[in-house]
Amino acid sequence: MIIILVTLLAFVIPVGIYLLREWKKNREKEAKEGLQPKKKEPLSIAGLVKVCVLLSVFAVPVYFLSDTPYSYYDKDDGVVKIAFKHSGTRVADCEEADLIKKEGDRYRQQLKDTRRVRMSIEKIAKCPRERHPVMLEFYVDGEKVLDRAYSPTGLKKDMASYIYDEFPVPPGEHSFRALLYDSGGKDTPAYALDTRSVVKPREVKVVWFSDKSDSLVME
Amino acid sequence: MKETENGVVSGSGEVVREDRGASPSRGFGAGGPLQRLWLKMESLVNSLTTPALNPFYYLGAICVFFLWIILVSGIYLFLFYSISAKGAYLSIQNLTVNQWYLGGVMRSLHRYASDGLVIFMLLHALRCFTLDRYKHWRWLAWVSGIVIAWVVLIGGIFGYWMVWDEKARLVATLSAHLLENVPIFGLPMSLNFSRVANLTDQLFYIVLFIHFSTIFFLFIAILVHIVRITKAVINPPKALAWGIMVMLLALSFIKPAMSISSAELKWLADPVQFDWFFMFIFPLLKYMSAHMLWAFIAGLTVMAALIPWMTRSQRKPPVEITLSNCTGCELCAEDCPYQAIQMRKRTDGMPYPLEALIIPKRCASCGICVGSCDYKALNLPDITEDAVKASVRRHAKALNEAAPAGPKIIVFACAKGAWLDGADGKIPGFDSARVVNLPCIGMLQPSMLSIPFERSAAIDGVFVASCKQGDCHYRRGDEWFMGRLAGHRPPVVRKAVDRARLKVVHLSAAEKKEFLEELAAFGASLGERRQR
Repeated sequence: MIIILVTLLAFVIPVGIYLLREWKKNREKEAKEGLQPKKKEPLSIAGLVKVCVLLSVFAVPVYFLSDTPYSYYDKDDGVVKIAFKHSGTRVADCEEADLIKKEGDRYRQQLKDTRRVRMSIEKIAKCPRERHPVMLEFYVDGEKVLDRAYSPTGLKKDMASYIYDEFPVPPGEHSFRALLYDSGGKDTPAYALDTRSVVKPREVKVVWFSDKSDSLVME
Repeated sequence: MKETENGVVSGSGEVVREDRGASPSRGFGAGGPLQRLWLKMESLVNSLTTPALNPFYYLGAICVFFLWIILVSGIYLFLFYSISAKGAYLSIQNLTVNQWYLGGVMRSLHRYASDGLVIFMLLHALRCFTLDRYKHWRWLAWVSGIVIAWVVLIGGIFGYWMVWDEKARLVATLSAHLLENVPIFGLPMSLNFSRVANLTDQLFYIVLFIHFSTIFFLFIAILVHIVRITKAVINPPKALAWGIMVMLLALSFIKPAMSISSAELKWLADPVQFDWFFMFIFPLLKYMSAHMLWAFIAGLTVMAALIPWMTRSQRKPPVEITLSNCTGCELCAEDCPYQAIQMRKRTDGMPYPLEALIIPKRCASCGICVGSCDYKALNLPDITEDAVKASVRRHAKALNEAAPAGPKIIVFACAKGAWLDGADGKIPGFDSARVVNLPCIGMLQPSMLSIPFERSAAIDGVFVASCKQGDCHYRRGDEWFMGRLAGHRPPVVRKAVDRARLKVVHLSAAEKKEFLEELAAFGASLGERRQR
């Protein structure tokens, strides 16, 4: 917090000093040239009262529009959110960690033997890291409401896919089915969730991926 | 100076062509109905207060004043703010409830000043549009104004995130939904608000950073906004500033800004207290997709930014300089309201260190520099100084020939003020007065003003009609003229000019009736004087 405050003040103080200096410079310049000698007018109470009455016109919309109740969601509907991140399997079978380990071992061995050695970065760099997109199908009461592929993130498409979608659901008991494919095809789902659950009015249900239990979970 | 067949030879030997110098050729036009309506409203406000305290003449300065309040109250709130998912709500609630007399008031000031800022920004834009003050040389201020509006809106929306109550959650969810539909944002931000476990303190640091950076961006945008304006008014009059403070404090005590219940991710918050000044965009998401909304926002912004070019009218020719007459006195550069004149090192070997350089793109063709130049170095091609002087002499001659019953009056009228459309300077119903229209009263050079006072002119009085005080269409024309008349702004009006035969009125384009009344009253006073 102190760092942020210091940063802010480091901006505000020089700007303030600069503005003050400019103001003084202008005043001196104007005084020197005999330009515009503005007299300081005393604050008139009558003027202030008139101004306050006038400004109260602008205060009315502020009073009413700054804090008005508004319903964004449809009354009583609940929401099912699908929100998690998951990594698809690699497109090519190449374990970068394995390669690095092997290359490291070779390097150390050669270093011992010859003392003239080079790390082969190329070998490691050539290892493809791209992952498959994660595909998700979601059914509410047997009706498919979502069938979408989520691309992996990262410049080389080698990082996790981020899944987020939401659907309004009327209150009551519903069956939910989620099928997750992470290896390119849609032959067999890698993970599946089949559950029945009661959605209360305005309740938010979340389907997410638990790394701990290695499964899709609804809560 | 001597006359030739082709024109007039100036003292420096330069020929001023007769065809453009003989009579002013600029066609002045009256404003539209919307403009008249707006001016009527301002006249009404003037009658309630005074032009010096009319908030409509200080809309930009009031916005800056709101920003100061937001900055100071924001720094105070920040001192007590806990930058964490768990602490944000509690810290603000604690400040609002337990320190209501200061922390609570500061919070209310922060909110209501932000709301006020939006209102006055809108009024500022609306006024500029209505009064035709956004085109040509003003385009940069208009476009940067749109940028400022967006920065304020974005800063305000992120400010609402920081409270982390139910309203904050709804705003956060909807704005995150909007943001993640922009292709440059790879990760769905909404993930953060799906489960408590996903909500990190890091997010609050980011939000705080965005909210804080608003002030940096605003500072830069405001600099750009006023970069082409000479002596920009950035502070409202003291009474207005106090009035605003009183109103904000009154609002803060009558309706203190409060949080609603803490954000609960397991339930939908509904209904929530909406601040329509900042959140007006979100309800549109109910009726259109995020992509459509972005397209709508982008379209609207581009259209607003292009207004100066879409409604562009033909521009008047910029001022021209006769370098051989320029003494490099810098008065024109001082007086030019849009920094269209800069001083540079002498290039023609004349024994002066500086010379004026015109930047035609920035020139408003207002003639204020003509009024400030004592050496005929500057001239508007379509309404030259010689033409104005010739016009004054012609009207004086016509008045003397007509020999009206009443006192003879020459009227110098600002075309943006109470503009009069009578042919050949005549005013319907006033046989004893003739009008010389000027683009701005700042163009009224003391040498022009003194012509009717010459004994040979035989004119009884001079009536000067300027824009409303503080509302010069070209920003400072009336102020500079009054300074010259009062004798503290060069070139000054000679003391020999009889002030008792001179009357200055400040009237807007919607006050023609008042113009005629004032003129009649002036005529009557001159009549009395003549009898005495």
